[in-house]
Amino acid sequence: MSAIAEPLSEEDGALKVYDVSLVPADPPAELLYQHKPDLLGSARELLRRGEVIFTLAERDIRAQYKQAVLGIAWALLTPLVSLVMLFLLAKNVKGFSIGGGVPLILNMYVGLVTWGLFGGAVGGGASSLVSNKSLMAKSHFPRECFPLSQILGSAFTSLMATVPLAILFAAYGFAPRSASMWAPLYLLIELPMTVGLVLLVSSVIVQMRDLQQIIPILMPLVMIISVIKPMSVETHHALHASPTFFVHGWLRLAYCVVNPMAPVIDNMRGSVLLGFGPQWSMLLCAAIGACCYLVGGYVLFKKLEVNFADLS
Amino acid sequence: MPTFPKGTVHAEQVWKRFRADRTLPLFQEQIKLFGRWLKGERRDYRWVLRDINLHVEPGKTHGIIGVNGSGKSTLLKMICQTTFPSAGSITSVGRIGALLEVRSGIHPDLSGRQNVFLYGNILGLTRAEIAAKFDDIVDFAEIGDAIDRQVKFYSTGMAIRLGFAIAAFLEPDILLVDEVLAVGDARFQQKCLERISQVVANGTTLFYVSHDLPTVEAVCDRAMWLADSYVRADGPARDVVNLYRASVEEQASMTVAHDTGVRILKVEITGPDGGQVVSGEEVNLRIVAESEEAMFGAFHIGVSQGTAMPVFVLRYASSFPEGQFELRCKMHSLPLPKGRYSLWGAMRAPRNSGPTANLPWQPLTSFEAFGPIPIKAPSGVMVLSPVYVPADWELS
Repeated sequence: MSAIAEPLSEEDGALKVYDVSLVPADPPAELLYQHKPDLLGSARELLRRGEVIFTLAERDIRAQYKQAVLGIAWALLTPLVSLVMLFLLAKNVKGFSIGGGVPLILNMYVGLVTWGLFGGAVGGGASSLVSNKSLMAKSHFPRECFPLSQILGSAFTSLMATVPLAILFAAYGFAPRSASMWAPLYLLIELPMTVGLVLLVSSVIVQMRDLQQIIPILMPLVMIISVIKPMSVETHHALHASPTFFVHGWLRLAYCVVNPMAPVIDNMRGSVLLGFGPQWSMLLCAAIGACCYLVGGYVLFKKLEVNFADLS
Repeated sequence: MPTFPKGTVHAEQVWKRFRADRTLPLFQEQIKLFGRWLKGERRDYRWVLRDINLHVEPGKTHGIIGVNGSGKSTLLKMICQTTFPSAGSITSVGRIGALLEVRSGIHPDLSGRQNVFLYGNILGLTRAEIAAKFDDIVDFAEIGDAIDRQVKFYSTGMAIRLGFAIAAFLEPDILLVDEVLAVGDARFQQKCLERISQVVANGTTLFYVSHDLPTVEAVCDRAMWLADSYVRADGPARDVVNLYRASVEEQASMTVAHDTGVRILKVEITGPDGGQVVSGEEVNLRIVAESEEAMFGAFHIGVSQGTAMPVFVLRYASSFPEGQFELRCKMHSLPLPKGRYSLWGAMRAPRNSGPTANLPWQPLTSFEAFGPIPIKAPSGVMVLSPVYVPADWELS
C-alpha cells in the first residue's frame, strides 16, 4: 500500500484515514496496464458464453418486429417486396439479354442472397457496439457477442430470403443444378470473411465514427462490383453479363484474396444456376483472404477492446 | 494471483485515467495531436482514481460515498469489469449483477418478460433457472400484467422496480447498486433495502453507491470515502460516513456568502452550568450578530449531523435592531445521543417586506454531545437522524 494509513486503533478493520498528499501523482510505471490480447483465451471464453450471441440475436429480431402491425411476417414480406421490385427492374432493363437458359431475375436474386448474408451482417454489425452502450456498461461478457449476434440476425434474414428464391425457381420451372451441393462450401468461405469484417468495422467505429457514415456508401459499391462482374469466362458468356474483371492470371487470384466475396458469389451462381463445379484456385485464394480478414479483425477487435466502455 | 472464493472483490493499487486532451475526434484536432506527438510531447491524462486498495469478502456489504465526480461510478464499472483499470489489478469472482442507472440494460422495445430472460441469460443463467425465479421477480416488481407490455411504456418507477427485481433475484455473487433506489418511492426503497439484506444474508457481496448517507449506514458494514480521485478513508460504515459528514460541513462553511447584510460574530453553545453538552440536559446557546439595518424577521437555528439537513429546527421571530445584538436560546432538554453535530443558522425577513438584509442557511459552529451511544437499527432499516428518547422497558 503506497498511501500511509493512520489507523485510529490497532484493531483489524478499524477506520483508516489516508493522507492524500502521500499518494504519488502517477502510479509506478511497472503497474501501468499493458494490454496484451490473449486470442486463444478469449476465443475459449467466447465459446463458453456463446449462448449470449443467440440471446442478443433473438432480442434484436424480436425488437425489430415488435411495434410492427404485421410483426414477424415482415421478415418474409421484405424479401418478397424487394423481389417484386427486382422483377420489374429485370423486365424493363434492356440490353441484359438472358442467356444460358437462366432467367435474369434468378441470376440477380441468387447473387443478392449470397451477398445479403455478408452485407446485412456488416451493415448491422457496424454500429452494434456503439448502440449497445448501456448493456455493455452493465454486464461483463465477451464483447464479440454484439457484432456476432448481428451475423446471426443477418443469417436469419437471409434464410427468410430463400423463401422467395424457392418461389422464383418454381415459377420459372427452373431447378437448381446438382452442383448446388457445393453451396455450403461457398458459405463456409463467406463466414470467416463476414466475422472478420464485422469485428473489424464494429471495433473501429467505436473510436472513429466516420466509418459509420462511410459503410452505407461503401458496401453497395462493393456489392455492385462483386455481384455484377463475373470473374470467369464461362460465367461471363453464360450470363451475358458486363465484361469480367481480371479474366486471367495472378491478378485475378490477388483480387480473390482482397475481395473473397466476388469469387464466392461467382461460384455460387455458377454452381446453382449453370451447374459448374467449384473453381478451386480462386476459392483457395478466397479462403486465404477470408481467414486473413478473420484473424486481422479479431486481433484488432481485441486490441481496441480496452477502450470500448470508455468511448462508446 | 491467489484464487478467491466466489463473491470476492479484490483490488490492488488500482489507478484509472482518462485522456484529458481528447476533445472531439475532428480532423483538425487529430492533426494537432499528431503534431504534438511529433514534437515528442506526452499525452495529457486526468487521473480519476488513484491507488485504490480493496478487499471485500463474500457476503459483505461495502458502501462507496463521496461528492459528485469523485470516481465512485468509475470504480463500480471496474468492479463490474466493463472498463479496465489503467494500472494495478482488480478481480471480481463470480456472477456480477449491476444496477447502475435507471433502465440501463433494459431494452425498451422488449416486454418485461423478455427483458428478464435476456438479462438472466447475459448473467449466465439458463432458461430453466430464470423461469424458476420468474414469478418472484414479477411479484417483487409489482407490475402484474404489465410484464408482457413493452418496457418503454412503463413508468420510471415500474422500470426501476423491474430492474432492481431482475438484478436482486437472479442471485448474482456480486451485486452493484449505484444511486438508483433514490428514484423509487419510500415504500419501495424500504422493500429494496429488505431484499438487499436478504440477498446479502444468502452470501451475495454488495457494493452500494449513494449520496443518501442514512441508507449507506443502514445497508453497509464497511464504507470507502472517495474525494477527488483519492481514497480519503475506509473502515466501518458509520465512522466513514461521519467523517464524510464533517467534511461536507467544512465545505459548506467555506462556500457561504460573506457579503450578506447580517454577520455572525460569535456563537457559544454550552451544557448545564456552562459545561459539556449532554443528552437530555439543558443547553444554552448564545449568538452575537450584527445587522446592517433594522429588520423584522425570523432567526432559525438547526442542528444537523454535518449536512444541511437538520434533525430539528428552532425559530425566533422578532424585530432586530440595526448594529450588534445578542440572541440567547435555552433548550430545556437536548434530544440527541452522543455524537458530533453542527449548528446551522439562517436569518430571513418575511417575503416582500422591505429590507433584504438576511443570512443564508449556513453552518455556525459544531459541537460534541455526550451521552448514550446511538442505538443501531436492525440491518436493512435506515435511521434518518439520531434522536435521543429516554425510555423504560418492561417485559411480562
